[in-house]
Amino acid sequence: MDKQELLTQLYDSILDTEPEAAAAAAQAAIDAGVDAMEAIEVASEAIAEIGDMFEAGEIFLPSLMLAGEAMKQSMAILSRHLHSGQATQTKAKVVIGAVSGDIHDIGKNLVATMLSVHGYDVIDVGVNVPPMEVIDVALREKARFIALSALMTTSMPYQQDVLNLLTETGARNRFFVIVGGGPVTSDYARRIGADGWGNSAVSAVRLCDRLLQSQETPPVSATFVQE
Amino acid sequence: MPRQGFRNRTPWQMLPEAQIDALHEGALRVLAEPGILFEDAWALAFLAQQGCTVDEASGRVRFPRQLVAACLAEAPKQFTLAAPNRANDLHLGGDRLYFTHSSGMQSIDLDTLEPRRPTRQEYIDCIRVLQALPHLDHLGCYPYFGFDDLPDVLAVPAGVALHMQYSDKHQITACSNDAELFTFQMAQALGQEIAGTIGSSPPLTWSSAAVASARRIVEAGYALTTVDGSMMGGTGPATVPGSVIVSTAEHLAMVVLAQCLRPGQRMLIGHFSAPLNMRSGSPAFGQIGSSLNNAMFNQLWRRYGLPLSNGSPGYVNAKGIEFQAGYEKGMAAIAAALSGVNSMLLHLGVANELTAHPVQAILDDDIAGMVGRFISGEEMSEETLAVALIQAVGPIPGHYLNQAHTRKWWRKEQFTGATADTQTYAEWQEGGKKTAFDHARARFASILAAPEQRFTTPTQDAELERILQEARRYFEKRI
Ligand code: B12
Repeated sequence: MDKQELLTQLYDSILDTEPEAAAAAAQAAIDAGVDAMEAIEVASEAIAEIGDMFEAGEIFLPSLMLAGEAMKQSMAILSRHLHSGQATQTKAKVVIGAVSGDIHDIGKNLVATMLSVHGYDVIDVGVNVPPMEVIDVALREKARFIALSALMTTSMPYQQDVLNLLTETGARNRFFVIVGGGPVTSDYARRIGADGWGNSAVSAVRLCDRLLQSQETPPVSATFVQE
Repeated sequence: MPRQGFRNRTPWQMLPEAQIDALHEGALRVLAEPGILFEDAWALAFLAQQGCTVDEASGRVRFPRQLVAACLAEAPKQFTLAAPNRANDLHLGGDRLYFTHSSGMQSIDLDTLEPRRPTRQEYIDCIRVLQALPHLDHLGCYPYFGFDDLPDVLAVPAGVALHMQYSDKHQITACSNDAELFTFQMAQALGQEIAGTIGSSPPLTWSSAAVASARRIVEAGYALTTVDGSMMGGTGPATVPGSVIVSTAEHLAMVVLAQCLRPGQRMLIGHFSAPLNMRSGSPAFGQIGSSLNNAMFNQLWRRYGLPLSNGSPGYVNAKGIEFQAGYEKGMAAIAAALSGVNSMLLHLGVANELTAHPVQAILDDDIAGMVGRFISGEEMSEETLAVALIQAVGPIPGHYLNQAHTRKWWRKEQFTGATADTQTYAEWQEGGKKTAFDHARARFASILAAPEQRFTTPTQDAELERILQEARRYFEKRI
């Protein structure tokens, strides 16, 4: 197979939402001496197309999730073969989790997948995560965003706790804090002083893009709202 | 004498027995591998003592078959839940069917359909309607997640107190966030029985909060309702049988825990699955898949014999009080009833779990009546076969309107909904072309126009208030 065919195979395996095939295609490309950076660019094009297809209603969640997995597996192989000085281009690092007391994770997982599909480096800290733990991970990972999901009126106050703790520990200006989840409204987000609020996984991506493109630093002057 | 509910003497069999065996076998295999995750140190130690294989590090508990069988045998197959008014007692299990309500986070504005937080008075009005509806046999969780500026953590205790004040029906209440520390005190203070609900965390997990609540329910001597909630394709397999196996394994694990804790513990098994909306990731409430799921689950669990409840008929995908809500609830209710469920959530919920309104409950009460009438079936006797009558009336010009037999039987045979339009076309045109929704609004107004009934004494009210204040102090740091 020539280089072009190998890259097409990688591209197709992601569009076909086949993680194993994507890993195999990535390995085959490396084995044939294809430049890792070039392969990553091709994979990124494929996953961006997947994101567009999902937003357009042409594909559904299982395909989105599996394509995300295909991307992850091929990236794991390709990124090991980058030359020194080459770095993958991710937009920013996002630490995401469901707050204390909350084990709902379907929505959080969707947001995480959509963000990574759209070029963010996502670190998922899971569910029922105490405020300080989220902050510790965000500090350690030098994240740009903290994304907090809450599905219950009784767990929402923990979003505020994270913001308070950030302020108390003097780290509030290190992260854009965005919030979401069923009962979390834009009004509530404003009230607790979050930097952004979104009501879907698609809006989470637009929200992060907008915050990055804005000239603002956290905490922003007025909460960004993305429907 | 308990509430009668309806009787379904010949439940619908969806599957042949051999396929029910396959579901049972599947659940037992899952209980053996990978087992159930208990996020609770006490449960791990306790289940190990009962003969389960416990992996402390991972929290996984594997259940031997004989233990599951013994605990299923131990669980009562029928039992009574006492209501404040004994005429509202429930006799759960067997062939009896009762109806209750679902819930919503908020109320809606009837004119604009916009969601909004209810006031305390609207919360009370909602309970008064539930109390008044003839086919609403017992109260369930909430109905709304709070009112006015009540702190959210107090929603359950405050709601339970209002239930006690404005209704004399039995209430099966939510246990979460330690609410039961206070709701059980309230029941004890008023000498009432209350039942508690805990939810599994699919797939295959019981949280420490659920275990803690289960222990409190069992220790208080109340009935325990376990509710699953696998979303097909999300937190359970996309297929109905696979998802039934996940739910069944979760319940069986809690049956073991509860029966070992207190042999003979009363349990109501609550099933609440829905397909996943593959665009949004939300539960696709109202889809017929929920009904297939209920029918299969109910048939399997009828074999085990424990009383059963279905939650999904109470939740729909429709956003307003309209045609879609009616067909989604109607189809789900008839399927659940036919397959032999003992209690179902039906009334009140408007848009999935997000909004609820008593006008919807009034319409739903007619669905309950129709479904109940259908499953009650027909009496077969000389008199209902009516051969002698048919012979006597003969062909035209004979007719039946002037027969004593008709006078005696027609009311028993017919069910007419309170909000269905039954006028002639001309009457309907002259009367302003009213819809079922208009009739339901009128009924809502007339229920609320009746004098407000209270079911507690001033001393009891003071006691409820004292306990609520205690709850307020307990939850202070979260208010
Ligand atoms: C599925 C579900 C469950 C499942 C969860 C499975 C899982 N692994 O996630 C199970 C059965 C385990 C469960 C358990 C419970 N649940 Co529940 N559950 C639901 C349900 C039906 C759907 C939630 C869901 O997944 N929605 C779909 C996802 C895709 O939507 P989403 O999370 O909102 O996410 C989207 C957006 O909001 C946004 N988003 C989400 N997060 C973020 C974050 C950011 C930063 C941004 C920008 C955007 C964003 O993008 C997402 C994708 O588009 C809701 C009711 C409902 N209709 O919403 C109740 C609901 C949330 N649960 C509720 C309750 C009470 C519970 C229990 C306490 C029940 C019990 N007594 O045991 C337990 C709680 C356990 C706990 N400690 O958390 C209540 C909450 C009430 C309240 N007080 O607010 C609800 C509203 C149901 C109800 N009416 O009672 N539940």
